[in-house]
Amino acid sequence: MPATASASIGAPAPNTRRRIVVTGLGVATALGLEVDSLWYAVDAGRCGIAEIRQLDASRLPVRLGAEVDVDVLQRRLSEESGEHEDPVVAANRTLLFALWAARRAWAAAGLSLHGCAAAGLDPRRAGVVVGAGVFPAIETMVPPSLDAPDDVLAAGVGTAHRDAWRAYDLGLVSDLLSSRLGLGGPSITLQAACTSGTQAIGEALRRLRRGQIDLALTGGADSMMSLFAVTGFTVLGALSRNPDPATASRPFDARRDGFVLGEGAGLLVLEELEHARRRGATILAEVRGYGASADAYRFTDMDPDARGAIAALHAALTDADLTPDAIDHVNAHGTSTPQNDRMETLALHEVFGDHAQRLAVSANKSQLGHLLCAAGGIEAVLTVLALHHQRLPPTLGLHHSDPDCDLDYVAGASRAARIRAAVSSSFGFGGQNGCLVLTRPPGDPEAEP
Amino acid sequence: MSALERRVVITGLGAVSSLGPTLDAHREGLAARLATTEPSTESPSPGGPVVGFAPRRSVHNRLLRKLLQPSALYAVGAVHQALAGTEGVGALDHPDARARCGVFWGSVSFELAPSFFAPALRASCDAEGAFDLHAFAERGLPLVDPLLIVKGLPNAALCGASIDCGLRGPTANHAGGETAGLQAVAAAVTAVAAGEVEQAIAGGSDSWLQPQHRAELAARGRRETASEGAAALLLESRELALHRGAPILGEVVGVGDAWGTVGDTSALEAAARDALGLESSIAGLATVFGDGGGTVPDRRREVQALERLGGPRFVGLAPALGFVGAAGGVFALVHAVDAVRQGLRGGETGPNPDDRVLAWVADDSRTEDGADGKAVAVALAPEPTDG
Repeated sequence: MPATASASIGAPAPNTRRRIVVTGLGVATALGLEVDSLWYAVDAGRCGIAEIRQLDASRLPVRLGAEVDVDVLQRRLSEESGEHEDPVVAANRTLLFALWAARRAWAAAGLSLHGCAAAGLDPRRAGVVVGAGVFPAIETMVPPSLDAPDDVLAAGVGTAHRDAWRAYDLGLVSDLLSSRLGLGGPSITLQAACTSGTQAIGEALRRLRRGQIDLALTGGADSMMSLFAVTGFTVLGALSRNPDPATASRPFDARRDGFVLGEGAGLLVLEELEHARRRGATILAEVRGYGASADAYRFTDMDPDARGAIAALHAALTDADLTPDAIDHVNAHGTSTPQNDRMETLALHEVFGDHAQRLAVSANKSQLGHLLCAAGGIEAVLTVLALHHQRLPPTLGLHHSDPDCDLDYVAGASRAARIRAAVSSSFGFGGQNGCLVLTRPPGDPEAEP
Repeated sequence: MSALERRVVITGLGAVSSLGPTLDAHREGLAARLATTEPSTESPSPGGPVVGFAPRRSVHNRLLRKLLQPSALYAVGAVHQALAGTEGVGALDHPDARARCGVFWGSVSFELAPSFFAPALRASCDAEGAFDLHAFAERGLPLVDPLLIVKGLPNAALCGASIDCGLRGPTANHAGGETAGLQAVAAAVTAVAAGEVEQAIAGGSDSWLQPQHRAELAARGRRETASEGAAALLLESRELALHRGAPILGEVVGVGDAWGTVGDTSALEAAARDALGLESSIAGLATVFGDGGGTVPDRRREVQALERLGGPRFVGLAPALGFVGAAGGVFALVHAVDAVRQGLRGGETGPNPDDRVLAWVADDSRTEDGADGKAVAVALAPEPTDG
C-alpha cells in the first residue's frame, strides 16, 4: 500500500492548534545505549570523552573523542534482529546509531517493532524527519592506482568502493527508518550542520501541528569519527587541543579552546496529544514551540551580535506562547568554542533580560562531546529527561570564569530544580539556528508555566 | 479565515543549468532541446557542466566565491534571479522582508573535489598501495584542505544563499536524494500556507560531475549524462503578492509527499493524487513534468503512474538536462510554471483555470532491498485572470 502525507492548500484548519507530545525516547551515546543509563551517567556527572579507540589517533594533533561502544551495540542489535548484518548499515555508523535509537524510541512509545500496521497505526499518518550527517571514510577507500592524476584517482575511489560511497547517501537514514518500521508518511533527512537534529524536531512538530501526520520519529544521528573527518575538523581549528579528557570540552570556561567530536543518536517519538491519549501512551513532555532563523552573516563565523540566535529564541518563545520568565532551564548549544559560548550568553541576556540570571543553563557537550547533526536530538532527549526528573544536568570542566559568560551554567554537578519549561538550542555552522521549547506533559500541575 | 486557508503563489524563478547560466538562457536552451516525449524514449540525453556562469557577477560575497563549491554557487545565482525578478517582481526590497523570508533548500552531497583528498590519500599510502596511518600523520595531514569540512557541507548552498541575499527567516535543508529539492519546495509551500512565513525561497542544487560521483551514477545504472545546476522559486501568500503588486506566475494548489513501494508506482501515484487533492478530478490533469530518464524501472514507474492518472501529457526532464540529482524535481516544477503561463494547450487558447499541471520526482531507496522509496509531487494551477 502506498503511504502518503499531503497538504491541500485551502483545506479548513482546526479551530485550535494541535498539541504535540513526546511519547518515546531512544539514544546511542558515549555514556549509554539506553535512556536510563544515559540519564544516570549524566546526572552523576560522568564524562564520556576519552582517547579515540576506533582509529589510531596517537600521531594526530587531536586524540580525544566521545565514542559509542559499537561492539556492544552491534552485539545487542544482532541478538534482537540481526540487522547489523546489512552491509550498508554495517559500513556506516550513522545508520547503525539511527537504527538502534529508532528501535529504542519506538518500543519505548509502546509501539510494535513489526511496523505501524502491527502497532495499530495508519502507516500513512506516520513519518520520519531526521537530521543526519555522514562523512566518507576516505582512508578506507584506497584506489587501484595511486599514480594517476587526482581526478582519475577519485574516479578509482568511486569505482572500487562503490558500496562505501553508497553508504554515505544521507537520504539512507530516513529511508532506513521508514522502511524498517513501516512508516508511510514523509521520509525526510535534513542536514543543517549542528542544527540538524533541532531542525528535524521543529519540522516534525510543524507537520504534526498542520495535521499532515499524527506521529513522527524525529531527532538526529551522526558519526564523523573517521580519519579524514577528524583531521578536517582539526585543521579547521574547531577542535580542542587540550589532551585532558576531563577538561577538553569545557563550555563557558574562560580557557575553552574548541569542541570534542562525539557521535551517536538521539531520537524521539512525537505524537498529536489526542492520538497519544487514545492509544494510552505515556506522555513524557510537550513540544510547545519551535523557532528558526539564519544568521546571514559569514559562513565560517557566528554573528558576534547574536542576531540570528536572538531571532530563533524569540521565535520559539512566541510560537510556544510563553513569556521569557516562564522558562527555567536552557539546554545550551554550548560547544566550548570561544565564539559560540560568548555569543550564546549574549543572546540569552538579550532575550531573557533580568530573568537570564535566574535561568539554569546546561551544556551536555561537556559530557558527550559535540554530536554535530545529532546534537539537537540528544539534547532534546536530555531536556525531556530534565523536565521529567526535575533535575538540571551539569556543565563539566567549568573552573575559570569568563566575564562574557556570566550565567548559572550548573557547573560541576547536577541538582534538583523546579523546571516548568525549558529551551533546547542549536546554532549551526553556516548560520542556521533552531530553538525548541519543551514543557511538562499536559495536565501536569507544572505544565502551564 | 484560518492560516491554513492561505493560497500560495509563485512570484519568482531562477535557474542555472547546463542549458544556460540564467533563467532566460535556460529557457532558450530548453526550447531548442525539449521535446514532448514518452518517458521510454531511448534518445541520448544532454547534460554536462554549467557553462558561462560567472561567479563574480552572480555571487556578491567574495569569501563565498572562494569557499563555495560549484553547485552552491549556482544555488546562490539562482536565488538572486528569483529574488531580483526577471519577471519584474522586484521582490524583497525592504530589509525587514528579507529578515523574515524563509529558505527551504534541497542539497544532498558532500561535493568533494578530488583535490580535497586525493593528494593526502596518495601521500599516505605505502609502496604496496596500503593506507598507512603514520604516513598520513607525517605527509598526508598537511595536504588536507583546511576547509575540507566547510567546503563540503551539504547545507552550504542554503547558507550561501542566505548570506549573499540577506535572508534571515526560518530555514530547512533537505538532503534526501533526488527528491530533496522538490521536498524542500513542498515544505516551503506548506509553511507559507500555514502562515509560518509570508515568503520563502525554495529550490535545489546538485552537481554530479566529480569523478567519484560519475562512477556512482554509472554503477547505479542511470543512463543520463551526469550534470549539475540549481533552480529556485520565490513563494508567497497570494494576499501579499496582490498587495505588493507582484506578477503571479502560478498558484500551488497542493503538495504530496509519499513513502511506499516504488516498484509498482504506489508512492509516485499517491503523491500525485495527494497533490491534486481528493476532490480534484483527474480529468483536469493536463500535463505531468517528470524525470523521463534514469533506469528502466524509473521509466516503467512513470509510465505506469501516468496510465493510472488517466494518461495526461508528459514532459520528461532528463532528455533536456541530464541527471541533476536533488535539483531535478525543482527544474521540473520551473518548467511546469512556464507551461502554466504559456497555456496548457500549445499556447493557442491560453491557460484554463480548470487545468492542473503536476511536477513530480521519485527516488528509490538505496537500502538493502531497494523496493521502497519516496516520491514528491507539486500541483499547479494558472492564476485566474479575474484575480
